Amino acid sequence: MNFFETLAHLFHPRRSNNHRPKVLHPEALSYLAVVALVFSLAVTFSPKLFLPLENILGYASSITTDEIISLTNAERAKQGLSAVTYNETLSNAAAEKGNDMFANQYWAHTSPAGKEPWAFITEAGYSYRVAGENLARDFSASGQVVAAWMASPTHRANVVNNRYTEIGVAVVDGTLDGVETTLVVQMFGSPRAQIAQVAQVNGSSANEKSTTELPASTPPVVAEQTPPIAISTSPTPAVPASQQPEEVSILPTSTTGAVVLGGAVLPASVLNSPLVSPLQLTKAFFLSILLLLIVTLVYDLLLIESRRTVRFVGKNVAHILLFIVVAFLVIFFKGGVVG
Amino acid sequence: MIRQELHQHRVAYSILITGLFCFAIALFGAWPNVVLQRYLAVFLSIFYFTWGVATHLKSQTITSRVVFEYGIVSALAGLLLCLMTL
Repeated sequence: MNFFETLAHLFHPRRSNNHRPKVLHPEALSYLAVVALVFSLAVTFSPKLFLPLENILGYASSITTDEIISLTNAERAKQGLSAVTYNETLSNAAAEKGNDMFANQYWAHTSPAGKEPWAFITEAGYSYRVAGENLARDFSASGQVVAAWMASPTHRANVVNNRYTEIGVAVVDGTLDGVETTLVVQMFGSPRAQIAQVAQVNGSSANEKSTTELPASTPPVVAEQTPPIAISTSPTPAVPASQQPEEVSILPTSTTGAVVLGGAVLPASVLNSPLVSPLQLTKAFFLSILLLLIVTLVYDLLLIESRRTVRFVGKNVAHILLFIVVAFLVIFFKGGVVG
Repeated sequence: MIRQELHQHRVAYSILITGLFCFAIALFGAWPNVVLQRYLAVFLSIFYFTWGVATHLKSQTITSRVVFEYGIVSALAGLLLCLMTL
């Protein structure tokens, strides 16, 4: 069978394919499903297992700490809450947490060595009464990150928690599981001294104050599954700033997204961005499959209608509707993971 | 022929379009909960397979080959959406 014969056999209804394009036969559709499965698993897991592709696969982002903080405060304002103020020590703790995740290749609130989020906060020198952490990865824009947190009840609880007065955010670039990505670490806190001051300014009685403070021995409160955490524990002695490791991959607030190179100011995301993200690659491949099927179904439908052929097969119109909806969902599918 | 098909099975197609529309809304609404999105993708597969078999049963054009076709098409659609959430 030559090339054109094969093409006709695959896409043109005729005797050789029982008057139904071969690609629409259930066997061919099964084959396409297996190909899609293998492709997706390869893109998802091969960088983690044996083929780091940080220069090819990755998530380029334009996320900045300023935007995260301002969007967080906008969400708090909608709830009638006061804005949280930027705290550099909390941001240092968040940056340290982000670097630790890249260094030790994990994606969780607790490191493989058992280091909890509040350990980063106290080591940075922040003495808190209440603190919390939200994580995000694989997002391309600040708005998507905050929207994802707000869409998740447990993360939302952290964003709109009225007990927090300060915030620290780190946007850290690196390679996780063989894929270049951006981690966003958001840490909330209320310093011990400030809680006392607020209580005094508001004229709260000693009893009222004691009801808002959690006892120092209260164990950390961790929400279900992979949640943001709200913790209250007695701070450990702070680590001097001079002992803190230097962070090299942080996008600081003051230089959000810009570096100087050869006299030209270019966005960092342009300079360092990988060629394509795993999600984009998967979308492109799946859309190719869906487009192939939709076009073949339409062609088959029109041809069979003109020939007035009667067949006992599935309804092309229904298949087309289904695949169009799936293609629409694939196109507008939003990635990103919150933790 | 297409118009005739749509007209003859207008109730069936109305159910299909409504189901697909509701599914699309639910899938976007479930974001960023990928576990829920996977459940919804499985639900879509079951819904489409049931719709296909029921429609062909009603029109008495059902064969094992048609059932197989709807099974594979449903599984393919659900699989693609599930894999997007990895």
